[in-house]
Amino acid sequence: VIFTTPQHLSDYWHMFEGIIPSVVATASRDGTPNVNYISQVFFVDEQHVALSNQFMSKTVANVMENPRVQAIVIDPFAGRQGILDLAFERAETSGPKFEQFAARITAITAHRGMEKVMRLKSADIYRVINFTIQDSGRIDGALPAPPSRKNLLADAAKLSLELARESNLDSAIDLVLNRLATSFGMRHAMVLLTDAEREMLTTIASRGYDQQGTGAEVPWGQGVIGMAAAKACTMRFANVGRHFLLANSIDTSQYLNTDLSRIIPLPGLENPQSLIAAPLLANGEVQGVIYAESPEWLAFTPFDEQAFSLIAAQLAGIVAVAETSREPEVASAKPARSAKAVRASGKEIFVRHYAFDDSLFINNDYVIKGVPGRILWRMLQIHNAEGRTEFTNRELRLDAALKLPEFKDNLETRLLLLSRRLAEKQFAITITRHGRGRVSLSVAGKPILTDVAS
Amino acid sequence: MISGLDSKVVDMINAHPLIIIGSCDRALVPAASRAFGARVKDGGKALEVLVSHVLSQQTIANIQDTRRIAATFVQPETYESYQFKGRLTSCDEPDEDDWKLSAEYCQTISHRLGAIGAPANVVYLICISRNVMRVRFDIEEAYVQTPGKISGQRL
Repeated sequence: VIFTTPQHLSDYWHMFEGIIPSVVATASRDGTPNVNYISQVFFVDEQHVALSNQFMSKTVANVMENPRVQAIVIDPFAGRQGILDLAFERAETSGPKFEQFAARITAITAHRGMEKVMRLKSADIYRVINFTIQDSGRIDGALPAPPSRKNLLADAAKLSLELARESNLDSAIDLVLNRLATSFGMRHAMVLLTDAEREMLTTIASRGYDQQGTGAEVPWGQGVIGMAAAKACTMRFANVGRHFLLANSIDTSQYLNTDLSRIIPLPGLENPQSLIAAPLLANGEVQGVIYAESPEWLAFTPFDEQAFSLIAAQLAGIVAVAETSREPEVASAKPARSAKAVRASGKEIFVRHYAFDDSLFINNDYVIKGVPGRILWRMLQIHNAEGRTEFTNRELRLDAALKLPEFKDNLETRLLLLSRRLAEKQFAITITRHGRGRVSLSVAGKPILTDVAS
Repeated sequence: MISGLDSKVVDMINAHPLIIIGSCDRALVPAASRAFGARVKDGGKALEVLVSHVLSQQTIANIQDTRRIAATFVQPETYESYQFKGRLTSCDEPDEDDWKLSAEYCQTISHRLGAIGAPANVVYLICISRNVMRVRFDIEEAYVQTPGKISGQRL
């Protein structure tokens, strides 16, 4: 057994990822010891670590009497033990560290009954008095190598420059998802955009799944994705484990009284171990979330998290610009009938619109609900009445039937969502966006429209 | 002293759960370590735990000096946990039965941890026993430590 005392705690970052539970020992004033497992010791800085205080009542009581603590953290690659001699400094019940811990706990205990049990009382900060590595031997050739500290800054900078040249949100999202897979090893990822009106995050694109799931929704504040949005903070889990799979899944109880034909399943791996979700934060608002997952534990390192957050911030800027920069005024509010305009003909396409949630079905297949459903319904009404196939964003904005808010209508992202959903499911009706400002409707047949009032 | 342990708890200990040991020195500086096997003794009034004196020098020294010890047993699959606190009655070199128990413990806990997805190689290294001592103590306090409402309740 070899004992070493490293200079830098951060060199052993992989011991603070919670892959294997940590042990914490305390002692009361009268010298009675107490020993407990905790899920994770968090790295704070070179001199400090943090413990999340959820249900360690005796540990906390002891620390109030005697601030000394010893914790054991495990190297998940080499099986070495890190022995931390600690002194309690303070308990934070608000602030960034507390919020981060609380969000993590809430995200992974979303299933019923666990939230109260797992409720965070405080984020407890400890000063590191001594850190010793205890290396008790290895099995020849049996251990996986720890992840390298790859310089992700170069890849992030390259992508950042590419994104800076990109003015089209559609292409920017594809670029990010493609680069995450090729340069960052994040092969299963998705981008979701905020639907503030319905307090939802809607999947706009994904990579690495059998179904793209365009239009799939996550309620604001629910699960890892929802919490990343609600708390506007990046969340990373290195070992979700099978015990947390239920907790991590979206609570489907909200759908108990809902027609399941109106639900688009969220893409997802069957058994993810590593998760990362970063808010798309721009102009002080969460524009959406970018999420990645992996079947491997510790697939995403703290360095990946930094690069991921940078990419998220840049993509957020593009989302915000797409929504705030309006198209040129040259577009007519009431454009003349397009040269391409044709009267509907050919095979009948049955389109049903349900007014209560603006859900839309094409030949009995669910398309989408909410504002995108309302937009397509309106375009089809105009198409059937006037034979038009060309529309402008401006006329859509001015159309009272669409009931778009005057400020921040998110029209651009809603059209993008609609066009991707229609293309993914290969419906007989599609829309194509021409830069910002024009939209073409393509109908391979004769739409028969039915409006269901309630 | 407690009157004895419930058969459910005895069965849990005999099934080789995770075992961690707590101690502290006279200056109240705590030490944590793992144990590599345990037995229920004296009709549930005492416990024997196998502690490595190579990996856990400070723990052994503390226990021999203060005679105070805490041992927590955790079912890795369910987090069902119990903590026992007491006073050392003996600390001895291992005999053949101890080595046998330690080997059986390491094999079983490796399998149990591996079955719930813990990295197998690391599990083996954590569970491999080295130069254990047999530490026996009388149980003075027993607590449920399973996370939740009953955590901290006396058994």
